[in-house]
Amino acid sequence: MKEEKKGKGMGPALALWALLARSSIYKILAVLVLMVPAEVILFCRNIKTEYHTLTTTVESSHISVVFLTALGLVYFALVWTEGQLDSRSGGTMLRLRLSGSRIFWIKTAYNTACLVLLFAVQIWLCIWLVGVYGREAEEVYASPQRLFLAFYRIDFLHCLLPMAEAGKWVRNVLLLLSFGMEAARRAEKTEYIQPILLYVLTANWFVSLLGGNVIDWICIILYTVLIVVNVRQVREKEREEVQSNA
Amino acid sequence: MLEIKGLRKIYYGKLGGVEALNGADLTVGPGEIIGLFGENGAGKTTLLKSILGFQSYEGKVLLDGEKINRGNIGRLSFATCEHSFFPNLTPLSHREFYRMHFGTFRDKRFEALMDFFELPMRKVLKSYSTGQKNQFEVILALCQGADYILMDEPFAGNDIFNREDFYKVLLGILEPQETIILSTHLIEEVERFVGRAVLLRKGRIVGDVTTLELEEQGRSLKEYIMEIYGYRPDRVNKALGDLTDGGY
Amino acid sequence: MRDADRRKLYSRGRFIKKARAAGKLTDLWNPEKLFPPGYEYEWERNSVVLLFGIGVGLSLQFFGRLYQAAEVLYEYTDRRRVLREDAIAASFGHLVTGHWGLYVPLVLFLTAMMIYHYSYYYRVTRSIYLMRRLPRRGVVFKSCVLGPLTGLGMAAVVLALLYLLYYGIYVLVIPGECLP
Repeated sequence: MKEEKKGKGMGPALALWALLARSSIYKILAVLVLMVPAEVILFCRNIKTEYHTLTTTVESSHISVVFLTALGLVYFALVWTEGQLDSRSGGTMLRLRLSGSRIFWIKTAYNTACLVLLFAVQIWLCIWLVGVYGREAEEVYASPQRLFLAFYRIDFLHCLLPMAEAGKWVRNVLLLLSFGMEAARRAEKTEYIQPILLYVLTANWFVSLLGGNVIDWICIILYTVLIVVNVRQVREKEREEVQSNA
Repeated sequence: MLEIKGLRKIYYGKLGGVEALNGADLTVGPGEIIGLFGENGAGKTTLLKSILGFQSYEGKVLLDGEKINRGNIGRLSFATCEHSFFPNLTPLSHREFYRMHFGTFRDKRFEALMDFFELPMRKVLKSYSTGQKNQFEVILALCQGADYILMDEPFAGNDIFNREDFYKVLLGILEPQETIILSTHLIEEVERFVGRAVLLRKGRIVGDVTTLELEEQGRSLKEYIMEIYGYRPDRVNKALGDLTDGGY
Repeated sequence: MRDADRRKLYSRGRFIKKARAAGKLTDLWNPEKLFPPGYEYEWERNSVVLLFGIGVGLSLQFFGRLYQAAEVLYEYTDRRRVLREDAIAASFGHLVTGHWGLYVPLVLFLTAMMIYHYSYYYRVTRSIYLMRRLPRRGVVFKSCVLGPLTGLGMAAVVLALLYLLYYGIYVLVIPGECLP
């Protein structure tokens, strides 16, 4: 009798994607729906205060704290829902005829896409808020190049969209990948200390000064180590699967 | 005496409130073995958890006239199919834990039951099989030294021989003041074991009868429950008939 | 490690285990008592050590700042290094400004662990049902917070000693007349 091969078509992959989306997308959208008005309210409250430049307005409104809280909520929502999915619908996923490593990569892609969505919404919101500042603030504080300068002078905006600083781009990409992979791998385990540790470090060190510094390097090393460890574990598991099927 | 008066519990969700218990009244004396029966969602687990104070409720639960508090909670023990032990600890460590917190822990009974069911003492519980975990969960509840032992479907996943052994051992070791309230679906099995059957339906107690009364009436527990539930045996044939006529 | 040393260590470990099992050894320091029963605290301990180590590692920047602060006190006259007149060094507080931020991840992590410990009672089994039936008050609360609070306390003590050491080095390096 011929052995059934693992499904290679798009069907099972899309089915898994739909399963993931069904279980977590509303939570993520809820976080975004709460994050955007919270930041708008905090920012707009500070605009008309005397002597407030754009930098001080952004910093005193603490929108970075709101963003990092939202990052944590989205990340842990992904970790938790995928853990629940694994324990309750693990059988359904196996019937999709996808190998363990394919499931992992699909989950990673989905998680990373959700985090990219969060970043994209935040960047778009910051651009809009800078525009609002330009219209509302006194003329002396509003320059025609304020948007471009904002993403250089304001640490939080610069870390969000690093412009020409390659080191921070690398850090951000590795951050998204490592978070995505951790949420995908964590589903197979019940301990959450590693995700908590990863989030605590990221939340503290995400906003850093312009130009490369020690903390950025530590983050890059940390994220790279996590990515390598996760990929290795997935490959080892795949090898074990192949050996047990042989 | 365990008294439950007007017990009411509503679970609030997205679609409004679901009344899990609606004015349940029950009195349980010492030394009784009570089977708690009912369909899924009847309120059995809610009743047991409310007695133990795991959730808020309306009404009263009194133990010898007093509310359940830190002073008398040790007189109640609980065995659940969800398991309430620590999976990373061994039975030996659990014994130490129980000894530390419950002064009435029964060492001899614990060793005897562990020995009888051949459960390894020094193996962590997460490596036990489901059946072994169920057995251990019930052993802990029986050895705590409680007067009222509440069990919520403790045998889900155990084989029939295992369950039979357990009922026999239980009847043999229970002391006159020890009371068991056992929630289960295994009506025919526990019929010979329980002295009283309490039937729940949609949050209400709809039946409360002793097995002695049933014997005198010449009825089995299953017949009694079927009568109270209004179970119609012909509905299966009717459903099959509809399905086959429909060409399925 | 030499074989003889390894054997000695192993036999000592077995002796301690036997003594504990016989109830003859009271545990003066048993980290398991600081956590929920059966909780595998090794990962948490290692994370705390890592966070603390990163914080202390980053705090070594103090030496760079100290060097710069000391250099600023001197000028070069005829190729000789001479102390400037009325030179006053930056204060110790100024040199360690922002250091508290290095340990915020540790504090946040340990705070998160208190909540994580509570969630342990709901994972795999529902041991919360057992914990809520215990006659003694506060067992759950203590099991959740003792470990992290002990970690915070130990970190505070070590940091106090570390910054005392830094202060000692600061006083040694900066000439007495330049101390603010």
